[in-house]
Amino acid sequence: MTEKKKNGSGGKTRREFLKDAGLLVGGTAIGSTVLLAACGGGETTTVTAPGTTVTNTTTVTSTAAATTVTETQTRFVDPIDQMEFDTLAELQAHFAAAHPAGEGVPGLITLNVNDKLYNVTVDNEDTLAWTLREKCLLPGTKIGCNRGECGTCTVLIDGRNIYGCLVLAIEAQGKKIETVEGLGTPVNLSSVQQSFIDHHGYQCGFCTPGFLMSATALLRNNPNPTRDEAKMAVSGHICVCGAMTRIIPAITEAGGA
Amino acid sequence: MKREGFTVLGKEGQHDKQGVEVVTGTIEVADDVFLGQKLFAAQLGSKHAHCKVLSVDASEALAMPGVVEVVDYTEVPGWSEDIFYVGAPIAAVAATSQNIAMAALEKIKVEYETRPAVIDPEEAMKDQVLVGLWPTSNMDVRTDFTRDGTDPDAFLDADVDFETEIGYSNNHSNHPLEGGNCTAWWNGDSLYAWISTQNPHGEHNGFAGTFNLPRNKVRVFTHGNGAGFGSGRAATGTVAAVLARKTGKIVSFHIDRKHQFENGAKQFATKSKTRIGAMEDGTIIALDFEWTTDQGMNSRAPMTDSNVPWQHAFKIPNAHFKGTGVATNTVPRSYYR
Repeated sequence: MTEKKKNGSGGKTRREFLKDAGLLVGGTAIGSTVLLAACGGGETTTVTAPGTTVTNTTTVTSTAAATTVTETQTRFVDPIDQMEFDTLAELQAHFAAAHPAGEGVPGLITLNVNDKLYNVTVDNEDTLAWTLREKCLLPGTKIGCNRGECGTCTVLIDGRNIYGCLVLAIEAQGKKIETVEGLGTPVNLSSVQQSFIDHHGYQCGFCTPGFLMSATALLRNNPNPTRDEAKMAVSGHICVCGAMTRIIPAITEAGGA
Repeated sequence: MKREGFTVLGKEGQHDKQGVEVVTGTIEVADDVFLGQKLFAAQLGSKHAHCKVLSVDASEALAMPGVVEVVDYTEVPGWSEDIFYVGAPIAAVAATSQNIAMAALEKIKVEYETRPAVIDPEEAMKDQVLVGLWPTSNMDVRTDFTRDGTDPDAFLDADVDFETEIGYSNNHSNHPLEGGNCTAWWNGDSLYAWISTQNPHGEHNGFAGTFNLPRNKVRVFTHGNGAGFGSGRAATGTVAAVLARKTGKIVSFHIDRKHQFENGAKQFATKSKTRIGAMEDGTIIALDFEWTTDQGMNSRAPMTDSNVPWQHAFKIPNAHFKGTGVATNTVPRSYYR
């Protein structure tokens, strides 16, 4: 697992970095690169526009998201043909046999996000941030610059705050990933979430999920940080609106994660 | 009036109505719709600041696995073979992932006929190289405005006569954290658009005009918005709609950061020369100022708009404003706010 951040890419462009990283760790993905099943092939199903006010007449036909979520970890479902298995090993064996590696075949990986297992199909080049949104269907992680500068896509990997756009999805296998969806619920906010509201530590709110993840990583180890410690913890984040003067006290006065 | 009479003043929590959605990541932005079900678009920009596009060959890009469609400037309303700045759109790709769409851009071959370009406003004002917008000059907007007389001796009466000159201001790239994006879908001849905008009614009218649709055939959905700063309206809607119509699928165009810097509006750079005559009590009795603004490639607004605010703020006799807007072969400009 390479924790490459802005300065860690050795002056390469993001695309060059991703290509290199994909070659480096590509062997860990089952299957091959290139095509996602999401829109090109895949099983066709009927879905309704999520989160919109579209009426019944606007139900659209689209290809299914190549995603299965295993909440109880007792069923493992092939994202492409929807067959079910009892163990991850059985699913992986089936996937390798049913969808042999080759051009146009994505790889199957399992991501542990907020203590749920997501079996998703990805290309080697797909970033963790993009995969979390488009494959795990967790849109709380926002993508701002997509090149390791703004910090909006920050997630926790094994407790460390890391830019989701600079980590490949295949690199995150076997790690414990946490996103803003895992912090607290609207009726049971975490301390730092409540503190951001109390201090109005945002304006448009687009950067907030990233700030919250870095603040959470800090506060778990240091429940009462100084201003300087809080500033350092979120130094990899940009709030273009200019809410920094409220974000720092929101962190120092949260009283814990 | 008694304080109890107010319904907002003195009451807590008026700014927090959106807070829970913001901190839990449940607030929906335009990019959050149709997750896992949409095609992804990317846009190819010009390599040259001033040129004519002779041909676009997208055959290699179309042959890539995952690439669904490519459109070029002939198919997108508002795009042209005549290019006036680096990054001006030439072609766009729809593919099954963002990475594939971006990779496909590198496979599109474009043949250019380059033309002389000028990017420095001082050079542009000499009119030796034309940016290509107008036949004889790069300076389309000249304002010479006088209010309440032009007494040449007005400054002699002033207690303080202050003069200053400031070089070209930094022209910020005033882009919001949320890149411009639009997800478009056609249901028959009706267009549905989920777009990051502060002006949904403007987008609604824009789509109707661009695609020659009656307004009841266009639905524009509003969302939580990742700020604007004057460049919130990146032109993503038309591209997404064209690709959605051609593919028959839901297409998301989220302009990447590089292309947003090349295409999204940027702050004007202005050089100013100001002379103020004031009395000891602070009254301004004479004002003479001259602005030269690099307008980049698109806007004619600043020279007329910048002549307005000072008139509302002060009542100044003997005021004179001279403004020149000069076009250059650089990124389109807009207001930073």
